[in-house]
Amino acid sequence: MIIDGTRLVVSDNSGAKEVECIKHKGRYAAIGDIITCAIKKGVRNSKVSPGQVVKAVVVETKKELRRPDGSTIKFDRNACVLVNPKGIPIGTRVLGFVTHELRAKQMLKIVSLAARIF
Amino acid sequence: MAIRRPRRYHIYDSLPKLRLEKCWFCSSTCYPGHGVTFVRNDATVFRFCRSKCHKNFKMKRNPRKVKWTKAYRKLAGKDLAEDATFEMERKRNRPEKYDRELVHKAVGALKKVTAIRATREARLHTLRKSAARDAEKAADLRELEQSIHLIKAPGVLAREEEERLRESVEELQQTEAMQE
Repeated sequence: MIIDGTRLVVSDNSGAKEVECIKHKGRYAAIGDIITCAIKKGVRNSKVSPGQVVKAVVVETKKELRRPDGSTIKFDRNACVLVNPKGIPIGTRVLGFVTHELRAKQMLKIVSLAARIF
Repeated sequence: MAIRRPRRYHIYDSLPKLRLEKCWFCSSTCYPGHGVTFVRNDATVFRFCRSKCHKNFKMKRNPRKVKWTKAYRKLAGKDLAEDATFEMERKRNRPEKYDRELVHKAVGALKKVTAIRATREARLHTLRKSAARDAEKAADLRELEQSIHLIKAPGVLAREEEERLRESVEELQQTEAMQE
């Protein structure tokens, strides 16, 4: 349940550390949705810097994700992976967790980079 | 000849197939469609069978201290803890090649193992209760003595008291007579 103002942890190595959602489609953004965000915290000398507006894919949410088989999964934090307007990740590694929902949304590059898929 | 288009991907294709997991808190079975899976930041996966267990976890309760969980009962020796029948339920990550005979045998073995475990658990319970049984009997006798006034009418109690007094006096007189 990501809305405008939600801070998300960036779980890739693009250089950004924390990001604030500034635009999402519909009522809330959930896992697999692309949001527009402003970078709040970043590492020096990286591709992206604080203040920049980028697009990101939500990969982890504290709000439970419900699946067609009735199972429910939730994470301990809200996290995202920065992507370019085409949906390709800016970073080269994804350090957090992703879910199978990303594969259904055709974000195969992120899924292939991920260490652990739930 | 028609070109076979690949079937559109559905999330069912990559979700793990049916497996009955154990609830992290109470150790009961988490059936599909029930409960919540919580993934912590250190990649530990906690499965809960129902919101009761999930809420207890959020309260940071230790299942080993919560009386109704299997963890507590095994630790306190109230339920069967170490037994050969539990070895049968170990999770094996190597998939078995499907064999009809094997499935048939496995189902039969399942039933047998469950029955054996049930008898062993029953035996453990009777063993535990036997110590308590004697204490219970003694407590019952004591209650009968002390609280009989709650059941019997005061008139009856007084009459019985008189009779007992009379009998003891008679006995005393007899013993005195015998001594003389």
